[in-house]
Amino acid sequence: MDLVLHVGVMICLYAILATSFNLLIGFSGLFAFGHATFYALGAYTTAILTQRLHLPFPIPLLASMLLTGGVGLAIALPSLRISGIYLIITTLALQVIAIDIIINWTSLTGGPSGLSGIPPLSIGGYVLSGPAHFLPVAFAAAVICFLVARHIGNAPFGRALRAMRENESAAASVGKNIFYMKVSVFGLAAALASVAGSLFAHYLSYVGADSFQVSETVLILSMVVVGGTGNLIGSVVGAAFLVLLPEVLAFVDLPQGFEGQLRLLIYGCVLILFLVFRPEGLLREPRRGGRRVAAGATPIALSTKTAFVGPLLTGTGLQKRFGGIVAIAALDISLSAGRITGLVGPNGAGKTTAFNLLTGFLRTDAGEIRYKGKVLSELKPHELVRAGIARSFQDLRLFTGMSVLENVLVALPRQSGDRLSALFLRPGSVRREDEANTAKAMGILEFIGLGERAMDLADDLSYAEEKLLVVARLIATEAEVLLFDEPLSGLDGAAMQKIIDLLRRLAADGKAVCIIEHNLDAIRNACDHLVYLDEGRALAQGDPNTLMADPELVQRYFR
Amino acid sequence: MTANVSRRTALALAPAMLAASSVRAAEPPKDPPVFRIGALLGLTDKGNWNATVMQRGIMMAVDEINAAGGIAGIKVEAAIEDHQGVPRVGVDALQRLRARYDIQAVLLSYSTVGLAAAPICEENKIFMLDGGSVTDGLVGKFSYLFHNRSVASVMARAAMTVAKKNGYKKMAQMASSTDDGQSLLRAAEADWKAYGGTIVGTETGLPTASNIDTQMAKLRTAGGDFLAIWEFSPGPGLVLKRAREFGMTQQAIGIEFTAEILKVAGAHAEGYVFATDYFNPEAADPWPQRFAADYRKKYGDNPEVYAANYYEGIYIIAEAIKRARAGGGNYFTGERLKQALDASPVVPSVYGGNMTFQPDGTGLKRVGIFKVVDGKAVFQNFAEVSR
Repeated sequence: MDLVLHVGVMICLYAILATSFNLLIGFSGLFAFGHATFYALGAYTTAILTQRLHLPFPIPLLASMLLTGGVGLAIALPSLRISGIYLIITTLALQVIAIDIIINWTSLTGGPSGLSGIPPLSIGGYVLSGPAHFLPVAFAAAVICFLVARHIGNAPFGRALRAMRENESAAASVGKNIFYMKVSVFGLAAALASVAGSLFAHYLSYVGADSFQVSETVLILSMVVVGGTGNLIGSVVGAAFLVLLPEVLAFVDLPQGFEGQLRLLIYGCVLILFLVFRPEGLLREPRRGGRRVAAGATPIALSTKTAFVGPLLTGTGLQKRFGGIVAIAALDISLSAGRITGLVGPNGAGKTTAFNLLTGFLRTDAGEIRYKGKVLSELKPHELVRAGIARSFQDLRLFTGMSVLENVLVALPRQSGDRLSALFLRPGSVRREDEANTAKAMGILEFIGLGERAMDLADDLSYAEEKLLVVARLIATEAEVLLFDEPLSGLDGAAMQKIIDLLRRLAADGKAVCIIEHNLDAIRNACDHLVYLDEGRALAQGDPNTLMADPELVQRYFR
Repeated sequence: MTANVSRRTALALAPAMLAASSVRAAEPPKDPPVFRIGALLGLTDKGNWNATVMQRGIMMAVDEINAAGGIAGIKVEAAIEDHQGVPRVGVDALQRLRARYDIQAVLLSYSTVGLAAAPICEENKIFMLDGGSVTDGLVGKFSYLFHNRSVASVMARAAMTVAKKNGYKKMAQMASSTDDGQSLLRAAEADWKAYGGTIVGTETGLPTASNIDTQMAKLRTAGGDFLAIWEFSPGPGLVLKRAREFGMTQQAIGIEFTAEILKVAGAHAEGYVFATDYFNPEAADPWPQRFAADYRKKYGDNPEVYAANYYEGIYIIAEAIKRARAGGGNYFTGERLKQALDASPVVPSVYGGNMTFQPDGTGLKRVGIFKVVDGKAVFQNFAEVSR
């Protein structure tokens, strides 16, 4: 019976580790391979505080969460600059360093000998020693951690994390604070993992570096992958599967002398076969489309008539160099409310770079950007979106793994559920706000003509629908200045006209719209004002028909 | 301390327990269908060579006992589980042994696995015998745990007798960054400082490290009259090889020499002096001779300390079973096996003669000093080390 209970305890502990790791890799796309470090920190902190300072429960547990959460915040810093394979290598190195510190800081950690004789968990004078007593505690902890992770995953914060996973720059372009999200999710995942570590220390009564090697991180990763990334129930199932598999194999009689090796071989083969035939994991990522709201339930209010007089956005003397290449030499541009401005010019003229400068994705070397008269040159992309300047990308950068509705929902501004504090302190208010936002997002989709596709994955849309979704996402930001990078390219006549009509409607409602476009007919059809850009300068500005009749500009354009 | 007291108390009460046994003798022994003995070995750990020879030793002993009719006609079986060198996996394996076989006696290996598994055994009164690790961390803390390998405090001091005898004053040392390695390091440093010697350099490395050049370069620079090696197979092999290749000519002193070490060190092992539990395959004593001959015949290798200790471990448990059985009743329990050894702590040893378990559970064995000559360990003398 003890074996069953012991396996139950281990499933609970690994379920905590797998769900917390899933928040990092499955939800946020942060492939940080140091999860066993957080596990170890929780275990050692509890061991030291319990054994040496004799602190009672729950102080060691809370201290483990605080300390490990703090370390998680620090480990998040590299992820702000690097991603993908580089983040994997960096975090692996951090884990190796952590293990080295554990092994060498003998006076604190016991060095290679570890710390033994850690007192069992004692709650209210009741000592929880042995699997039978410990399982209820481990189960309760696993349930609480799961609920916390699920609460986060299903909330606007979790939606923002998944948007970041799909495309970091696109998430920033709809106003998401990437720094806050990365740091928060690292801290949170670390704190949750430390719960498993803290319980592990009490349960085993021994902690040593051997228990927290890189192989442990790989095991937890396998649980997440086998269960299904982005699916928290999958993480629990994955943990159960990989804890139970060796136990089942242990009951298979194999030739003596090689049984250990053979069991490991079978274990590896099962994993390989599993990943070959079920790469998405046991459970797929659930569709989190939000609750569908009846069509037309919330009419969209686009009007943003501003009291500000003059151009909403101006760029003056903008310059940008990439080494010896001058991308933007001296650009003056102004975007006014109620007008569609076309930015045209040959390839390499600096059009997209100009967008990047105006939206904070690149810093200007010189010049000034003003929005409603205020200098905003130093603001980050998400801050500029919140201020009122949003952009799209030439390559769309939709959140393809999310539903159409979520693509719009995530872009809505001022969502209190984007902050962890509000999620836990004002859950009711966040829920009500999210319901209202869902209705608002549905309204935008109805307006744009995608209402029927709201619950579909963005990945399943046609190209024309994707272009529409880009417009919808930008509308959702409620920004007053909307910059569209080639919104009409690749579209047939009807689809193109539909988007032009939408742009006209946006301008009519008081938005300052700017588009980069190569289709001259479309420009003539859509734009009120044209800026001709070449060699990083605005060579000419004015009425589209006039500029397009200028033979010199035409020659430059088609050279 | 508590465990020591309890073991001492048990020893003090041994006559009373014997009397109780005689009372129990009135009750016929409740024989199990088979005597199943558990073992936790690092079969798939990175350095699994010693687990392989431990397993060989265990299986040889089981086969021998069964061939001779078992214990009181009951067969012995070994239930070997893999702990992969990971404490948590060791606990998993122990719980499996308990669930599957209600194991009453288990052979442990690896100090960190032992530290995680021993509290569970202690709580469930499972007899433990450790013939592999030398850590002092396990000594005297668990009343159900016995050791049939000399522990770090003994081994290190035994090795240091060579340095003292040769008049060395300056020690350079290389230690494994494992619990066992660090236990040896601590014991050796304390002994050497008490003697008045100086330590000119200390380096550590992972037991599975394949590149220790930085450490060796620093030790060469440090000098030293001798190089102490506090590592386990195959670690000393690499240390010997690189030390000689780095031009270090001083005497190398360690605590282990195995076929694996010889394989790695090659000719550089020549002259290496080591202290180990005195197992001499060439000894005149019939048991070591027979064991060595059978082992060679079966596996084509000379047995060394790990094979011998785990082979011996099965025999020690068998002896405890016999003694407990004489007490009648439900005798095949960890509690009764422990009582049997507490009551009479002297058991036959494959190292020759008898071994006596001390109050802290460690077996008192003779530690021999050996020197590698022509690739073979040649006995030099017994180390005089007080307990």
